[in-house]
Amino acid sequence: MADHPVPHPDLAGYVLDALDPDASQAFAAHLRDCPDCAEEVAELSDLPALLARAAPHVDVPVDLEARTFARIEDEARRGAGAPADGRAPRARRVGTGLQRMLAVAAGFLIVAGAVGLVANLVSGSGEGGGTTIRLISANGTTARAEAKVRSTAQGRVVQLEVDGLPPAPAKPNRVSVGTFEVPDADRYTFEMMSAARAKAFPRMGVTLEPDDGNPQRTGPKVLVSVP
Amino acid sequence: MERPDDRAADAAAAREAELLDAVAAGDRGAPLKELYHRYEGRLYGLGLRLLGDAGLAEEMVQETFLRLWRSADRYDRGRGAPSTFIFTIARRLAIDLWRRPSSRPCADEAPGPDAVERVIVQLTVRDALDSLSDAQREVLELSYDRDLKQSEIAERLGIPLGTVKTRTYHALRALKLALEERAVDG
Repeated sequence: MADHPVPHPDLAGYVLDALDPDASQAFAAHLRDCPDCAEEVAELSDLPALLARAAPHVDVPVDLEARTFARIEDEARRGAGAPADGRAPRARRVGTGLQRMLAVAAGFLIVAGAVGLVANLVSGSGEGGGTTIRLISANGTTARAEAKVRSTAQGRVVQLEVDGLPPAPAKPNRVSVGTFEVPDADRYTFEMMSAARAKAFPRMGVTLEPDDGNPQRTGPKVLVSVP
Repeated sequence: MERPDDRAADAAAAREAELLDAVAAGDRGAPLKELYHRYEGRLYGLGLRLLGDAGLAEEMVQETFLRLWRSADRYDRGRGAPSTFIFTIARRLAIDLWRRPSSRPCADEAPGPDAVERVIVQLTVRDALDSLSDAQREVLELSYDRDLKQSEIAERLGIPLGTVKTRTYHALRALKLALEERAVDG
């Protein structure tokens, strides 16, 4: 039986290399005579390497769960036979497109990332039973849309049917390669994984960001590509 | 001999398999919600890392659960843990989103399973860390992230050294268990 408190007070510090040098040496010597501690150290020994690889904390959008389950409920209703007007396949296709839009802010502002369209919907008095909002082209084209807004137990659902909207024009794109923390050294190397093909993204920059897990760029550029 | 943490991993996998069975039987209430809460953070993080865009990451999470609800009956216990089933759905969706011209015109190479697996491990460690109490996570982060010795941690937090030692031990044990429950060996 061990002749020390269990667990040994220095065990975790030894595993994490967080003991002062004298205590670390003393515990290493103790390990040679204490199979129980040696076994436990072995069991925990992979954790420091895993901790070093931990991804940064990211906040999941608070309403993502409600929107996800609203979609599932919507699909379930369609699967159960409604609506009966035969438009379900089209509505579903449009609904899938809607999911690419990024809902921001409380209230009812929806930004369509794909086409640069911003639909600012103001809830009306008839929202409880569903509201229909008609949209027309803002620049004289034949594009038009109809938005049906209804409240469900899982959240507010917006179904948008769009006609005649041309594809989004190509525009400069930016993709994040990853984040790294600058170590206390003059020269260092990082390896990150990226989806981006070098030909499509010929330039690169490094920005200084707060350590808050937000993947969006907010800080100033500190390194840019050589022109 | 089976270790306690192996049992934790088995129990977690068995629980998730039960949840998938319930979803397959048509229950899209509590069982699907529980699965959602177990995977939301990792799936959203995976989407961000693979697609580099918060909107696409959200779509990946939504579509993953939509497909999970539709195809839970295809889960076969003999072919792996529920986590493997769920992350396979997510990876395929990430590839679809990647290839969609309007979403990611730059992409012509799908993420390989090994690269995705590495990201999932990193996200799972974060998810496990986030499941600890604030006090436990704090001593671990000060130790591995800030590279502080335990005496320095005690000084910084203004608590006795003995408390730091005890708290760190329990934090490591809790982390190991949380990783096992998420099917990562630590």
